[in-house]
Amino acid sequence: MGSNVEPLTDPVAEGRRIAEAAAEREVTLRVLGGVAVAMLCPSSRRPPLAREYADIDLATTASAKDEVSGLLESLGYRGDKEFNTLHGHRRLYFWDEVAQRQVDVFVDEANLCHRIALRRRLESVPLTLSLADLTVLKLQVVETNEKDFLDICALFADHDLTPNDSGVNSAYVADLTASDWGLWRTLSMVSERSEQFALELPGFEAAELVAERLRLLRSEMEAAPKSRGWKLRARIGDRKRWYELPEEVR
Amino acid sequence: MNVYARKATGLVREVSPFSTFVFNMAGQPTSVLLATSVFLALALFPGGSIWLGFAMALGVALVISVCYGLFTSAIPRSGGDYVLVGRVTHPVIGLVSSFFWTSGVILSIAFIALAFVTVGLGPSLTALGLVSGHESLVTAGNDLATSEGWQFGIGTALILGSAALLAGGWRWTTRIMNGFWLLMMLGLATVFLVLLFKSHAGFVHSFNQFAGSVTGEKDTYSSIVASAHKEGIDTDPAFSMHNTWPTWALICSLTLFAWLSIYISGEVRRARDTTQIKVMAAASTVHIAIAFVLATLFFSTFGHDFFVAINGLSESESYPFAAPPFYTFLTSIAGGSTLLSWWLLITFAAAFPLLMIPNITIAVRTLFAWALDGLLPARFAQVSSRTHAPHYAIGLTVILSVAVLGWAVTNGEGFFSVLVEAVLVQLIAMILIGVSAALLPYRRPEAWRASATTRRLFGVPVISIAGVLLAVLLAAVFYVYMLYEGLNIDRGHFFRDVAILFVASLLTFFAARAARLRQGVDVDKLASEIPPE
Repeated sequence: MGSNVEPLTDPVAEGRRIAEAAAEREVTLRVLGGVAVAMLCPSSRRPPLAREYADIDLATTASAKDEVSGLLESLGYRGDKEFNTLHGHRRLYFWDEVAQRQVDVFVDEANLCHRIALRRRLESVPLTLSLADLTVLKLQVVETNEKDFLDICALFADHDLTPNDSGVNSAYVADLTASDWGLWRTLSMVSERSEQFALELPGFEAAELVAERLRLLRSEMEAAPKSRGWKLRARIGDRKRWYELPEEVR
Repeated sequence: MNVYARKATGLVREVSPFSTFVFNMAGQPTSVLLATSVFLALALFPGGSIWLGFAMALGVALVISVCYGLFTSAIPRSGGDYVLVGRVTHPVIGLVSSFFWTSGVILSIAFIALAFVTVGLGPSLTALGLVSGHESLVTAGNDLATSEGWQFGIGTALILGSAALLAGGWRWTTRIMNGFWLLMMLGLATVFLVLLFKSHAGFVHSFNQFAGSVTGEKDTYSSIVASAHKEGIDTDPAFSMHNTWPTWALICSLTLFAWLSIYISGEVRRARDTTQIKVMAAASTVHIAIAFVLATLFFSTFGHDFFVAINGLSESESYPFAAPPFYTFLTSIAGGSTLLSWWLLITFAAAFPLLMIPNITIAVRTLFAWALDGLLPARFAQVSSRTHAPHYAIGLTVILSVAVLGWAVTNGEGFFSVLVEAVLVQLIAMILIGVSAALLPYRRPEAWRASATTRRLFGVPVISIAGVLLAVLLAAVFYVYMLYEGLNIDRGHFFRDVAILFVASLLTFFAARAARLRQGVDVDKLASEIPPE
């Protein structure tokens, strides 16, 4: 399938264009990462939380990945043939020659510092992953960079904790961490760091609100009843590394 | 507060650094080469220093690790020399290199399958029968080692089993490969412990007691040394640098291929940083360390003169046993236990499937990379939707390997005359990788800037220095192989076969390019791309 439309320069507008094109063609595809945060959080477009977006991250299911490849090629992207052949069951790469920008497509799961299953969560909300999934994906990054912290601040500045996917679904996050000690450990650690980041960020008016919501999320995670596996792993604690460190591939 | 500088989303690839280390060690299993290759030098090249040979081989291996590790960090793609050489120089040079390398690999696969029976199972069963006094095992070992039917049947089963494992995907492949590696290492550890606690006098006593039942002599130990002297084998020669060069070349077989993970670097974790350099260097260092420690023990426990003598006599009529003088056989005698002999048989045999896995993987990954670039039909680049393994490429590798195994079994002389050339043909490909690495910063500066280091020494990029140094060192190994008759290279035969491979690779490239051009595909462009991963 040849390209008939060139990607847009603004990554957020381009992320929306891709998601809408997928919805129009009934292809299961959602935006995640910083671009999704920008689509859902108005404060991410204003200082002090505004930032640049280097790439676009998407998620799909294994059964839809061929349709996604066709869609992205029709939208002006070129697939990385070798990578997509060898790794296409869990990740796809596409490249925008004009903007020199990459599109990463996660298939069924995000295998980063932790393995986060996405397949059953993809259709929770339209166009993007749910706020809870975006939160988990940001908080599971062990080597958190400034952009991650800014995105976490935007998520918690604009959205309250809720028991469903209308806001940040804290019940879902607590449930995920109740069966996975490593994920609980990282989310707790990074949410503490994010709280500190928010409080130290110059000119950030919603800092206290963000800190309060992050504390509340941690207390819900703490309160959730834990699985036997969680308790066994907790005995080993930090003595054994509990996360992967994804490599930079660019 | 600690804020990291990560730029992109990141990726966790499938093959861990530990499995990569095992993969690199598996390319030349220590246990097999210690039995079949390293100590042959003692009698073949008297006065050659194996200690100096170990040090020199490690030196070459470390330069290989730096050069290939840095190179693959710049282009972490599957396909090995084909991709690295072709992307930096020209696709046709990449294919020529790849033809040389892959022909050697296919010959090696057939050889490993054959050696599994003739070097692994057969002699080990015979040794077990001799040590335990079970004549039926001696007969079974001899039957296995000499029967064409068993050689072809078991060899084919090993090829098919390894291919089936690869077809099952990385998860099981790495688990089972690591399991075989562990078995091999446990076997070597057992040899170490048995010999550590066995005195020289104790071994001489055990050996004479065991051998007496075969030779009818009271002191077979001394008579073996005497027989060697009669055959002209000098068991205590003066140091000779002249004979250290071919000793080095033989010992290089232990370390020359500890870099095979470049063929799977698209799937190796942390391929962009210095991990590949570290795992390659670690694999070579572990090989040499084991060889060094065990050689010291072999000389002290078995006795230097005896060990030289028995290795030198192994092919002669004066050699009294049905099993070859592998260290496993001698250690079984030292231990004097049937259980120990069984254990050493199992752990020694485990090294053959271990060796088979990287060899089949390399061939498969190369065919896969050719197909991705349009040099083979596209189906060879297809992967299974369930296991994500390139099943057509695996199938083609099996067909080629089993065909060569059939030739090896039915025409052993012809096969072995070509097999000895394999290492030389592969050296040519390795030299081409070194030259391409040296050219990387000048031909593909954008890829070089993405590599693990852009450091310079005296204004020259480190990778260029490593590439040139490596090409020179490998050319020296090549020269030694050509120069010393004891290494069994027929120069006329070799140059004829190189010419055949060269012409075949050119024909393949230009035929594929013409066919693709008719389909509107530019192979030159396709096979030059380095996707902006």
